[in-house]
Amino acid sequence: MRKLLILFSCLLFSSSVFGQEHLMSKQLEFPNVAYPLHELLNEISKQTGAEFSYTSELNTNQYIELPALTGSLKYFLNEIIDAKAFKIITRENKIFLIGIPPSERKYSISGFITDSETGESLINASVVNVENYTGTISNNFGFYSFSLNQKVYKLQISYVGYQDAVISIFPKQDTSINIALEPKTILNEIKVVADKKGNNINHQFVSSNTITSDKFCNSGILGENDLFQNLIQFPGVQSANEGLGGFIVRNGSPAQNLILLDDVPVYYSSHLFGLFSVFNPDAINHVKLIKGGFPAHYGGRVSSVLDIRMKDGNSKKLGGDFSIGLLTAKFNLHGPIKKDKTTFNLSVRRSYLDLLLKGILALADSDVTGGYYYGDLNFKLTHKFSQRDKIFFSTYWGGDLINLKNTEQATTTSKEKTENKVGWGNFTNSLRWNHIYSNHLFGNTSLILSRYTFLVKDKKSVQNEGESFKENYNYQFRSGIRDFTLKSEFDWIPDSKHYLKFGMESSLHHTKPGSELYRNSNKNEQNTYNDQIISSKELILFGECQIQFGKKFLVNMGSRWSSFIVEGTYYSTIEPRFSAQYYLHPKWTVTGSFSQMTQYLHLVTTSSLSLPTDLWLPVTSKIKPIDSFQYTGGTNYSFSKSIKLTAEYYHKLSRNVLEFSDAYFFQNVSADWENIVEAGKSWSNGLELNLSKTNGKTTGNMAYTFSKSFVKYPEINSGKTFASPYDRRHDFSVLLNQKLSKKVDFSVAWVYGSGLPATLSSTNISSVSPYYPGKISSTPIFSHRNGFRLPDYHRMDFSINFRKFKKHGIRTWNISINNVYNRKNANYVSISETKNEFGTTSYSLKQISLFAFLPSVSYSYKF
Amino acid sequence: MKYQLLFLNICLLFFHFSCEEELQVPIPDEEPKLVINSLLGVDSLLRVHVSKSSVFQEQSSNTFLPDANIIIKENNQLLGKMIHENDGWYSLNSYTVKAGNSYQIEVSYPDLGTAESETKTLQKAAITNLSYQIKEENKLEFTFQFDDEALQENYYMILLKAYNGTSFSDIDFYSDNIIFNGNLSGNSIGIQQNMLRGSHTFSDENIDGETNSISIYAFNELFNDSEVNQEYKLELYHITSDYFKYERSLTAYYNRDDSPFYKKVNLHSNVSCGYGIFTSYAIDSKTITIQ
Repeated sequence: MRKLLILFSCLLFSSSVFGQEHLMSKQLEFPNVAYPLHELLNEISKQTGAEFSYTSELNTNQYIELPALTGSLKYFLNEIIDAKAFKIITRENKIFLIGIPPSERKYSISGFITDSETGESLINASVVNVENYTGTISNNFGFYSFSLNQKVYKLQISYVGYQDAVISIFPKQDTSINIALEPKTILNEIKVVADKKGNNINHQFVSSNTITSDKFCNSGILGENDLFQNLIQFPGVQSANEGLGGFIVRNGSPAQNLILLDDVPVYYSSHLFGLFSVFNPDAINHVKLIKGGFPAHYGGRVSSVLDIRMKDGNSKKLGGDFSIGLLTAKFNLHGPIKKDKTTFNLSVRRSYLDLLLKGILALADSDVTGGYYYGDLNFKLTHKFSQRDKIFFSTYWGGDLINLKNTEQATTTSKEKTENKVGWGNFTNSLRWNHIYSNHLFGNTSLILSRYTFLVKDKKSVQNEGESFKENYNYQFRSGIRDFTLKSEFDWIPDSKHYLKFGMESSLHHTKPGSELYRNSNKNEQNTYNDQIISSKELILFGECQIQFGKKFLVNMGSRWSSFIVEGTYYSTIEPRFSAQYYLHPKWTVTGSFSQMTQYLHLVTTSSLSLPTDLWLPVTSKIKPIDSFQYTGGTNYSFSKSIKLTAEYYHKLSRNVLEFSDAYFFQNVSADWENIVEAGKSWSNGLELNLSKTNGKTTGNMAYTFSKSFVKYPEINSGKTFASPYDRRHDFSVLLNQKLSKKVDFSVAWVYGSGLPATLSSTNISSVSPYYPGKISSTPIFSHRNGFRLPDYHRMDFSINFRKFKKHGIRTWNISINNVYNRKNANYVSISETKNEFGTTSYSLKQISLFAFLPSVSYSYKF
Repeated sequence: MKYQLLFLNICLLFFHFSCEEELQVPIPDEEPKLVINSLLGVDSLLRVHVSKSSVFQEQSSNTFLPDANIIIKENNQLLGKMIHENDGWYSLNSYTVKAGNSYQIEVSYPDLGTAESETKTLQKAAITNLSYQIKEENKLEFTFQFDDEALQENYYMILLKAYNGTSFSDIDFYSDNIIFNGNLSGNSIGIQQNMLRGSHTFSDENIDGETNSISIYAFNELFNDSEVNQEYKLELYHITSDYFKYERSLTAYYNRDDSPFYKKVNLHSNVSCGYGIFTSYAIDSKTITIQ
């Protein structure tokens, strides 16, 4: 009986719902385009038989212009009734239009936040309702959106280094407000973008640090202001080896860092074999480093994400700067092509060691000429079609080139000229289209090309008497990777408590392990051409939702589905992401996160240095993708508006990390790499502490990291666990910036790191000659991988700026000293054998150190 | 060429900026272990060299062990206890190694424990049709054939020797045959540059189960007196996988000379609880006289 009653009730309910749906789907046809509302409601009643019931708040005298003459009742009601002010409820044949009290009505406020002087987008600027400190922050394009009830509010818009703006607002409808903030005039006041307001609004800052290029104050080798040198001031970030080969985040290899330049992945991020990063500070607007708690829209590498955004260019007036240092000369020009509509930003940098070398060789009347240089070109074009549509084109070209030319007398009547070139570089392009679909929905679609090429050219030509040079030998080798990507992502902000991001990405990777061209006309040999391309495809779907529960609890959860196809092998992974932030007190938060990351491209390298010959190769049926699982837990405490302490613990486990096998000895790495690497697992954990002061004349940062990292491979080191190459136990850094006056400021940075592990051949064994089975000699071997620790690393750098404010700009002299107290840090250690006059052999440890005390000077002018 | 030029520039950079100094850090101390060295040649005497590893601080030229206890087995049947001859070399009277058998060795020594290893001997790969041709640029081309057994992984090594009046000794050669692709030293153009300074071993990866004709090149000016008949010997070693890895790792080690630009390479070993190599080969050779 009870079951029958339930069934009957269900039937009754469904028939009622069906009845209401039936009513709402009735088709209407209107003879006129515009009606007063009361007439329109009568007309609808006539055609559908529905009865309307509404409160006096509904202004029935208002004129309604219809969007169409035919359509369903549901369609017309949604078009003519303001859903933010009235609820539409249907009961059988009746339609109720019930007014929502003004205090409960929600209206969206959206727009862009920019620099008032340059028009540059301000990323991660906060918009806060000062009444309850709820709000939002601007996204990577400066766009923000959030919802407010219908009453008077004061909104505070803040960005570090800029004057706060406070505006009063009484939202009566969805409103678009573009906000321009004025920069503070105090130079170099703050280095790290503090998130003091951000902590109270609907965005998390778990395991991430941000920095803007004007706050780069840690000069690198030869006074070059370098991004990577500034990153190592953050906890959990170390340099790989002194000045060589990128940076290490939470014990992951440099190849596990995803480096994005305006959304384009950059594959080889160093110049001069790893001494400098390829990113020209003049072209950079904003940099965000994420070490854990990864949002779902990032992926593809397992250790970190470095999201670099280039400057759009000044939309108000033409400006620029140039500088000249010991190693490079730089030039930057930016400005409007059409004021407030179209802007450009052009940055060029070139080293000039080669020019000096060429001059010296010419003076010496040498037959040999040659040199080395690196250069970068960043160009960005931005055009605003309307308030809702904006297009960005960014390009980067950068490369290193070594060349050598030699002319010699081959015979008494002929000369031979040889030319050798080795070059490598990146070429990245992105075309992005921003569209605001509604005040709640922001979309960005990107078309991306990224190319990395390594090139070798050898040419010989001969000149007989009375003739010009004729080429008789040509050899070329190329390797690299080329990516084509289409990406579409959306920010949907339905209200101030929810922030959703979702999108898709589709990529085609073309990897070229090596193609050769050979032509030798001397020997009448056939041209040979060997070109091999490994093609792989990647498809990614992602979605994440950030939800605020009450005023204290903020959660971001999402997932990323990635699939990878290469030469008949298919991999697919679902990567869950979760992070949370809870306020124990307005000044004190606790955070936690979990994230899984997958990496389908492996960097195969033969050297301990970051060399351009390193190859990015996709997974194969034998070599699986790297999976990484990271858990973090931390806390932030703000002592004041300026001083903040953060502590974070992380635990990371990675599978399928690669290492060369114990007796790896093949030359042709690109062909044999599957057979010479071993897949294993690694695990790391660490505690990071960071104390920062971001306001005032004295600012600075102090970071300490304690970490442990181990690896284990079934066939390496007898299957025993050993220290990972990036296991630096203690890492400490202090950065102090002091503003002495408006014209003079200085910074001092000190870094300390306990020694990295190294493999040392410290045992001698007898070995039989493979060619003479009776001949025995002595050969050094190593018994343990990474069983030795390099000496501790420490260094102090100093930099001082002298400015002069001139009629048309600012002139700056910078003097910097790298390694102030001339510490000889070990880059490489080996056992050295010495024989004395009596033939006795003794052994000692020898170290090679780069970069002792190195002063430098540079001049720059900003106009 | 690409590597040489690149590394030359890296070296220049290093020399420009770097400095070398001695460290006041003790060299890590390690326990010595047994070292077994034996390349068993089919139809040759069964000989084994036994020594102990030494740390650098205790470097001495006499690390061989004259009184080790060595037991050798053939197909898991005890052959006997080996007897010390001299300088760490042991033999089993005049016992010769047979093709197609497996050999097990157990070496024990007080305080050094017991080290063990095993190998299986192979049949020789016969050389057929060895011929020569004098080419331009003082190049002497030797061509020979051999049959590779199908459906199994085979490894080989080629040595070219010249008669110097008293004995045959190794001479340099090069080859542009596909078998030497992935050699440890890149072949460039011109006979002077492209001698096989890398490995002399190769696998049958590219020639599996075929009758192979291989050409190798040597200098034709080895013998100054053109009136004298020049005598060359070509040796084709059919070797085990362990032999192949051992030769390649040893060559890689010496090519790289502990350079900081390369990752460390260790010597291949198939000895458990010790170091060294215990493996085998079968050799076929042919001699040819250049008129």
